[in-house]
Amino acid sequence: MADKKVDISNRPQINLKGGKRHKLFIDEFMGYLDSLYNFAYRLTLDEDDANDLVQDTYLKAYRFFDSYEPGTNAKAWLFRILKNSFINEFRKKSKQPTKVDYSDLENTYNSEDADSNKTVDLRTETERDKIGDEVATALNALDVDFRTAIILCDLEGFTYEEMSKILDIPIGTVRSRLHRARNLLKEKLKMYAKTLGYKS
Amino acid sequence: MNKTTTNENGMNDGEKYTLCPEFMKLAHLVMDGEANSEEEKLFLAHVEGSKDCKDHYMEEQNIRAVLKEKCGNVRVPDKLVKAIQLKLREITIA
Repeated sequence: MADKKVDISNRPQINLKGGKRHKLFIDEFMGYLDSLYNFAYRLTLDEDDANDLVQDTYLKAYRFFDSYEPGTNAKAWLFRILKNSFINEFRKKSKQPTKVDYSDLENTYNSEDADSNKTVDLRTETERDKIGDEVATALNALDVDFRTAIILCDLEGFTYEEMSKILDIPIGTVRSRLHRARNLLKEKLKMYAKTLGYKS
Repeated sequence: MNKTTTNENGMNDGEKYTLCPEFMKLAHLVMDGEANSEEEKLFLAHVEGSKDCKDHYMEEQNIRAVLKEKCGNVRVPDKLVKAIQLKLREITIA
């Protein structure tokens, strides 16, 4: 996949200049800012780094806009640029994932107030909120490659094929990485698995 | 039918779930929207007939829903949007 040479000679090229080029770029790409920012933030775990990474991604996309084929997968193209920028320029300086002291959580769940046999209806807003915080913390604590797989698939809804292109890995590797990532996420959540509805 | 006993991590530990091989094979493909219609039909029919698999399926969906709800609704800061727009305009004019 990564080594495959793609013939782009017959692709429509963007030969626009100035204002028209600018407008086409805005129309095609600015709608993905929220998704890009979320991806950048989940990768770097730092707001300033996420800002820099997103800005860098858009400037690179604008610079290489001529190689983009209008109407194709703009979102995947941006995500790929961002992922490459992160690996090449940001990964080294980005902060380590938040370390979670799960023994504290375990103590909380084992306290006398906690009913170990109780399951909670996830539909109630408060419970979803509480559990959501734990899920977010567990996601942030994953190794960046596993975190990326879950973000791309479960949060952004990319297909395996799109993920394969964004990450430059074969589809089989996408599937195995996702499988491993989900197992690790659940492993981190296991002490409050009952709260999520698991039965003993 | 041979069944696999797994814990909540989908790993064998002999104490939690009894998941069928059909479920193990198709669950993530279906949930990721990667299964074809025949596989999806087969999976949903199977889940209806197996309580453990159905429970596990619901739990997987719950985790994904919470994940999306909690981690998927981030808004880009207005300051950043303006900074990017300004940079792009500068480049265009130059």
